[in-house]
Amino acid sequence: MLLAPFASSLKRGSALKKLASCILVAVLCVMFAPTFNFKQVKVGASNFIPNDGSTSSLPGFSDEFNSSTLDPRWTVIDPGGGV
Amino acid sequence: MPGYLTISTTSPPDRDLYSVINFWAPRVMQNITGNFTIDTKLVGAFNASIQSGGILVWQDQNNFLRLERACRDGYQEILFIGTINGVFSVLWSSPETSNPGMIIKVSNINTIYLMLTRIGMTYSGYYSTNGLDWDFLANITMETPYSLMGGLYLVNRGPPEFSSTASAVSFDYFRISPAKVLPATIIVPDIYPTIQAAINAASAGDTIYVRNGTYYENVVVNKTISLIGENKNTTVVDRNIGIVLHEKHPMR
Repeated sequence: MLLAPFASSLKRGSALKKLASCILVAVLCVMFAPTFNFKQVKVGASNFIPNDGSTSSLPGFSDEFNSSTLDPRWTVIDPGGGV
Repeated sequence: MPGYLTISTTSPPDRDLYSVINFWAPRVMQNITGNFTIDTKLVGAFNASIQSGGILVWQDQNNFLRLERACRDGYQEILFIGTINGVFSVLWSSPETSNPGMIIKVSNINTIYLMLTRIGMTYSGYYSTNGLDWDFLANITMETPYSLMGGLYLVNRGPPEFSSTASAVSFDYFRISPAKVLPATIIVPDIYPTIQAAINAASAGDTIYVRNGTYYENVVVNKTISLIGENKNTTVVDRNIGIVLHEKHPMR
């Protein structure tokens, strides 16, 4: 019985450590998450390059390729390879 | 500010999305759900076989569709192709022999527009030279889930079958919008070589525009369409039966 509060405290401490670890991992993941900067994306032997060119869009269309950062909806797939 | 996305490959490329053999084409994809319309503006032409770029709808390696501008054997063309249940199939192409008008049309321009729609399990391909007037190419039924991937790609084959050169394609925009049924104009012989082939591919409400020439075929109209000749004196259907018009399907 005397050990019970101590054990509970130990559990809380362990839980706090786990929580802290999780937060640290999450922060690190955010810091090192691959940011697809379209102006620099080069995967395998391919380039994905947006340009602020003079080509025109149709009236009323938003143009997402003038952004320097790839919208998170996009996934770049470049298996490379070749025979 | 307008911009565009360029996808390029260096040599040796050998990047394709072909049947179940080669999936090394670079591409950008995103999730799409339900019915949709994808359209894009593609800038630039290709100069070697087999190079192409366009709209990709992707379920898995056994089920995907490509609507693209391509170069094959030195000429420019539009292709609507796919792999369905692991089997490669050409849904629509502009071969040099049967569609010379299309070849000329595509060869002379640097910019084309592509549109691919999904309504249920039916996928439809369109192309345009100005982004406003769309020519219908083909329908295809493909059993696909509610959610799949759609995007843009570049194909660039290399040795040993094809020449090895770098390639690039630029897309001015990529737009996903609610599915819509376009009142399509199907041009004979640009899109389909015969009037009957165009009628078979048409949906109710479409217009079939027949260029000057003599067409040696029997024509059966079994749906509500507009069939218009370029010139009443020089657009001729030459066959014993001529045009058969089914009741309940008025024709303009």
